[in-house]
Formats: sequence, C-alpha cells, structure tokens
Amino acid sequence: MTDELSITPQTIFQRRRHFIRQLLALGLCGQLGPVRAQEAAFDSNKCDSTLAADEPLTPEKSALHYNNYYEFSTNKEAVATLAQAFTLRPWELRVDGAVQRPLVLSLDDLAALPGVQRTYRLRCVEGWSMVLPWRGIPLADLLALAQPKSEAKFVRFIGTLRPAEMIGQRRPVLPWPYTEGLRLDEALHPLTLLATGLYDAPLSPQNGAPVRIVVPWKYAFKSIKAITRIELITEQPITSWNQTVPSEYGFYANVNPDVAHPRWSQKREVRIGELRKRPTLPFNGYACDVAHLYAGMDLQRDF
Amino acid sequence: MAVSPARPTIVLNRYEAYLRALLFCAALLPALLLALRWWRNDLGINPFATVSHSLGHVALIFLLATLSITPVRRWLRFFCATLHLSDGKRLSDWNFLIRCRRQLGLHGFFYATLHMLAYFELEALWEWDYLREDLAEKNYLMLGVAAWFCCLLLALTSPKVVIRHLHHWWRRLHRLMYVLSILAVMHFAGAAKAGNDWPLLCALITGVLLLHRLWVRLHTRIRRADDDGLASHRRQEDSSSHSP
Repeated sequence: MTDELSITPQTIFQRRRHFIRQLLALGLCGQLGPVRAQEAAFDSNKCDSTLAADEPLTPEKSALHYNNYYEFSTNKEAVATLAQAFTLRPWELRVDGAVQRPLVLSLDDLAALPGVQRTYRLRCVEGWSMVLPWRGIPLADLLALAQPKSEAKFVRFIGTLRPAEMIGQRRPVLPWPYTEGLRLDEALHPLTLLATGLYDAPLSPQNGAPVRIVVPWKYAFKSIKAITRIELITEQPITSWNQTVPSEYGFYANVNPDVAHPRWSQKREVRIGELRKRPTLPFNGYACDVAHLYAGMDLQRDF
Repeated sequence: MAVSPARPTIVLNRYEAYLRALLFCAALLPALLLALRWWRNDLGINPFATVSHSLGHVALIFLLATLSITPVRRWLRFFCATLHLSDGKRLSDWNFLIRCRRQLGLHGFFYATLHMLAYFELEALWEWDYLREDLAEKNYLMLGVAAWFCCLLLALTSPKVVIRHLHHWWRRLHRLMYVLSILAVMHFAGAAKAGNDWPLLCALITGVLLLHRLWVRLHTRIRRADDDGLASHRRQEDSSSHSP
C-alpha cells in the first residue's frame, strides 16, 4: 500500500519534466549564455585537439572488462560480472547545497538535456590509460540550471551506498559512499562532463552507470561513478581517496608526470592494448585547456 | 636388508635423469605459453601487466619450490612414520629431490631475469635516467633488484666445479636463499596493489618454510650434518646400545 502511495502520479511526473524543459529553455538564453561563449572560445583555441583526440580508441571490450570500481571489487577484471547486479532504475540525481534552484532529476530528465560526444584520454593513477568516446552533458550546463549561489566555491559528488548490490562496500576499503570533489571553476570547465553513455551506448554498470563524472585532465579516481548527489559547498570537501591516503592521493590529482606517487613514478603509462609504456603528458595532454586554472599554485605541494 | 625393486619410491630415484629432463621441459612451459600468447596477440586486456606479472609470479613459485624441498621431505617422513605407512620412511629417500633443488633454483633465476628484462624493455625502455629515478621512487623495486643479485650469486656458484672449490663455504653461501626469499616476497607485497591477498599467502608459505628451519636449528638434537630423515632412529639405536 505504502509502495503504491509513494509512486508519483504520472501527471505530476510529466509536469516535472515539463518544468525541467522550461528550466532548460530559461538556462539556454540566460544562465548558459556565458558558458556557451566560453566553450566557443575554447573551440576556436589553437591547441584544442582535445575535444576529439585523434588517437585510436581503446577497444570497447577492454573498456567493458577492465574497471577500477572498488564498490564491486578491487580486481579490475571481476567488476564487469559483479556490476551486472546493480539496479539502475529508478534513479535520482539531486543537485543541491548552495544553489538558487535545487534539482531532483530522473534519468529521463537527464536524457532530455542536450548531449555532446567527447573522446577523452583517461589516465588511471595506477599507470594505465585508455581513449574513450563518452556521451553526456557538460557539467556546466547542469550547474547552470541549478544556479549556484555566489558563496559556492566547491562541488561535492556523492556516489551510491548500496552494499546489498555493491558487494565491495561490505569491506571498509574506502569510506563509503565514494565521495569526490572539484573546485567550482574546475566543475564549470567545458571539458568536465556528466557522462551517461560510452561507445554510442548507455553507460554499462561497470563503467559507472547510470551517470558519472569525467574529468579528463585528472587521475581517473576523480571521475566518480554512479553519482546520486551533486552538492555545491563553500569549503573544500573531504573526498574518499584523499581522506584514506592523503600522502598518495591529493585533492587536485591533476595528471602530472613530475609528481611521483609515493610508491611509483607517474612519468609513464601503459595505454591499454599496448605492450610498452609511453610518456605521461602534463594534465593528461589537456595543459593548454586547463593549466590556467592553476596559475600561481605550487603543483608539487597541491598535487 | 634387500629393498624390493618394485618400491615406487626407489624406482623414481633410478630414473632421475629422465625426471630432471621432464622437470626442465615443464619449467620451460610458462615461458613458451607466454611466447605463444604474445605471438597470437592474446595477452589479455593489459599485456604489459600480463607479461611482467606472470614472469614475476613464476619466478617466485620456483624460488618457493626450491625452499620447500627440505622441509617437505622432513614432513613426509614424519607423517608417514606417524601413520605407519608401508613406504613410510622411504618417501624421504627421494634423494633426487635434493639434487633437483639446484635445478629448480636455476629455473627461478631464469624467470627472475626475464621478469627484470621485461621491466627494462617495457617500462624503463633502457633509459638510465628513468631507471635511476624509478629506483628512488619505488621502494619495492630496490628489493627486487637486491633479490635478483642474490639470485645471480647463487646461480653463478651452482656448477659442480664451483661447489667443489667452495667446500663448506658453498653451504653457507647458499643460505642466502633465506634472505633472497624474504626480499622477493617483500618485493611482491610492495608491488601488489591494496586488496590483493596473494602476497600474504606467499609470505605465509615463506614464513612456515623459514620457521621450520629455525625450529630445526633450535632443536639441536636433530643433527643437520647427517640428517637423511633417519637420524632420529639411528640415534635411538645408538643410545640403546651404549647407555648403561
């Protein structure tokens, strides 16, 4: 009985979708204006080979069967099997905190937002990398809908806590749910993506379905999977890996060959599918897009 | 007392040369398998990790096998004597196992060398500067290099000619095997990522094999000098004939 009562009547449900579309229309002419302009400037930039990396894509099979997703397993090749038990619908993504308009979005609401295709390099802190074709929404577009207040300085992303399905969460490897964060300017950067698809298909559970963040110039542990909440806050958030091993995983975690992980060098990476290692690029090759965000910062200290 | 030639434990000793040839072929299998997978482009999703990790694993398995021969012979004798098995004590008469020890160790050295060459070829790309920095950054890399040098020393002193020249020093030198096994397991534990329980298993096995030797040494009643697995029985006979 209670179950039936808790189901939103279809009329209200559709009205909410209508409301989101209105928001979107509002956003496109108002709030999104500056962001779009920024993206246009970014597009015309000489050094933006980044929106479509000309490197060969990682085979889809590799991306689907080689996943660092401790919520399921620390064994990368076991995740694909274990993640199939993960329920994707219904899903709610909340955008709240220091915003003018808190949002609660369903997957259909997200699908209604205008999407983009982006091919990005993905560099894991462990020293391997892939080239992946994502589909999703620039995070800046979503944040523009929520209208961050002026005191918002950081964004906290919260993953899913569901140990019944995410069996890796039954071991306290990390503080669950997985939590990540970005500075607001990083979150608003046109490269930062709220991804819902990969290889012309909806995200697979092992790749972070139904919705995840992709920040291509940072180590991939920053690109949090299966997010349920985006919270705008005034202070730097505490994040899962940074909290667990602060000496090894910094808050910024920008890909940087000159700052070694305490247990290994970050100068080289193995591109999945290749046998020999290749050099790692500063900011994972996106330096001319993002280096200005860190002007004046000591990247050896704020790694 | 004449030993029946039908005893399987003794028969095995007779075919030692064949057994060692078989061991040699078996030891080459992991390398051949890896070469075949490379040739068929079938090294898994991360070929780099497959090659370097599997070579390291095989090297460690051979080193632990080398280390386990003496304790296993002793335990076999103990269990067979306790359970009154007919072949009982003779299981430890597989003396060819002792002679296989050096061969097993050399196979371990072979894989440890391939493991290191894979690092040079696939990761360091033979660049001296990178190697120097990487050695400074990765603590476990130093342990691996130290283990390999121990291995090299033991391999160089394993030919019969060298053994003859070293006399009793050979035995002492080859106790380096104990240090080497600890270094190799620590190297493995350092290289493995959190959540991988295999280094723990290797550490447990190594711990048991080394503690066994410590235990034997502390119980000096078991004389190492002429221990052929029958020492305690002989001692009983001695004491029964000489004591008043």
